Amino acid sequence: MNCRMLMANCVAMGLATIATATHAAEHPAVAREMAGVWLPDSRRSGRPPQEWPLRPEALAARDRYRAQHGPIDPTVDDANASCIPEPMPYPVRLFAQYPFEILFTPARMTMFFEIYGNVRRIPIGAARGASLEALPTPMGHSRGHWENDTLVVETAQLRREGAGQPRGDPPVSNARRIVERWSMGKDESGQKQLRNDISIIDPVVLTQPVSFRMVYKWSPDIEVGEYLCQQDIWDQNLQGSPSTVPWRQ
Amino acid sequence: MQHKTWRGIAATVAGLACGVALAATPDLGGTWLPVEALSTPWPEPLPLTDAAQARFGAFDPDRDEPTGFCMPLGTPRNTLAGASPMEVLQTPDRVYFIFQPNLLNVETRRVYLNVPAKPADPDRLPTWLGTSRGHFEGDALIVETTEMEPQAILHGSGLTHSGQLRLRERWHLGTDAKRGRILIDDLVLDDPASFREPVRLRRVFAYATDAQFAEGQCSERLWIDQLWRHRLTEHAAARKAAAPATAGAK
Repeated sequence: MNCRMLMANCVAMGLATIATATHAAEHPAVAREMAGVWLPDSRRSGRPPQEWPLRPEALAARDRYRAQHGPIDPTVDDANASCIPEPMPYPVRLFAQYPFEILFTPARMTMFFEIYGNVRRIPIGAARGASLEALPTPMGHSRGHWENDTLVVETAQLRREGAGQPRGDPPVSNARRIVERWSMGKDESGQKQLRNDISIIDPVVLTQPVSFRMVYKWSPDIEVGEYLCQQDIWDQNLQGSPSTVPWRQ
Repeated sequence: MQHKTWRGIAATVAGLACGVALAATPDLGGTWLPVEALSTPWPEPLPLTDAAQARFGAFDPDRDEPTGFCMPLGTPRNTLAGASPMEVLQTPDRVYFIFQPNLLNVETRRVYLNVPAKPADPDRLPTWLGTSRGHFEGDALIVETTEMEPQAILHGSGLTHSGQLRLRERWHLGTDAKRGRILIDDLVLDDPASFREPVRLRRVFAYATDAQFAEGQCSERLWIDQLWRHRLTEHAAARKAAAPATAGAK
């Protein structure tokens, strides 16, 4: 065994040991397959229904809102246009080609989304939950656990604002929960794919859960890039057009 | 038999060497809070070149402060500012530094470990977070960052860089009598077009296992502003429409 081989073995053993500490001690082996960069596979993914199964009270509330504030003007009423990120499950149900990265560390899955540059922290197992004082947020507060090779993630405390109403999505109540079942599969060509069976549960608004499957393509050559939603406004400012900065008009 | 014995000894030595090497790789992971009292201030006076002095003098915070427009702090300001808790996630091939300043957007610095520097590409645009490569040297993580966007200022006073900034950092663990476990970042800002000599700074973070991150969104105020302006416009229009009828009644 020469010195180079010794070093190579050492590095290999070291990486294996760190990898073992990172994955196997806390997560099943499938976590290693899930880790990395993924892109939405819009062709293979499912869609939420065109007509959501709204409870009569929710339908009436929607009609009242439309009568009072309609017609909806996306240039004003769409929070997206003001760089407000839509809440979960928006970043995981996108069809546009924005990548996200999954990272496993002990007792945690972390998701880095290119869109809005958001980070989603998912404690796994017996980790501490959200504080009772935590305000609703776009990412919500998530908790995960493994059921064999499926990572089940439940998310609550979701913010209501900017939840896609201009597109016709139903309102969000405080009782909304999202259950995701993350698992691995293969496409027709044998390429590995990540699957997410999403259920939106909102007994105040929906008569039954809305479920669909999202599929993601393995994209090891793609980096999660910077997303600067406010770049246009900044550029206009630098070009000497401060009057186009909305909050300075 | 003798051969096997030697192989056994070699394997044992290799194992010990590996153990030493592994033990030497520090675990920087966790949530950390900036400690201003242990950090160093910017040098006074700053060793600015004439060009940098001119930029500094022309700085207009209303126009040139990116965070006023919900743009990122950028690197290295996100690390230097001491404006937020910082989370470090560590894997064998990457270290992530996540900054989540209150009321600002998340900024994630990715440090790619043990990768060769890419050749300079004139078509590659600089980024607000820069391109970071690193490796461990003993108990320290050595990071070099380049390709940083010069619109990302270094300090709220208007200190800028030329776009040729090379940032070198040495991240290492320490202990403070009052705060316990600390993470130290010794930074060197090398930008001959802006600084007559490299600027050396130290930033210190205290381990804060109970710290939680708030999910802020800078553009919230823009959204609220826009809604209010729209509603106020509607209100004004309604009052204007009602005014003639009221006048006629008189």
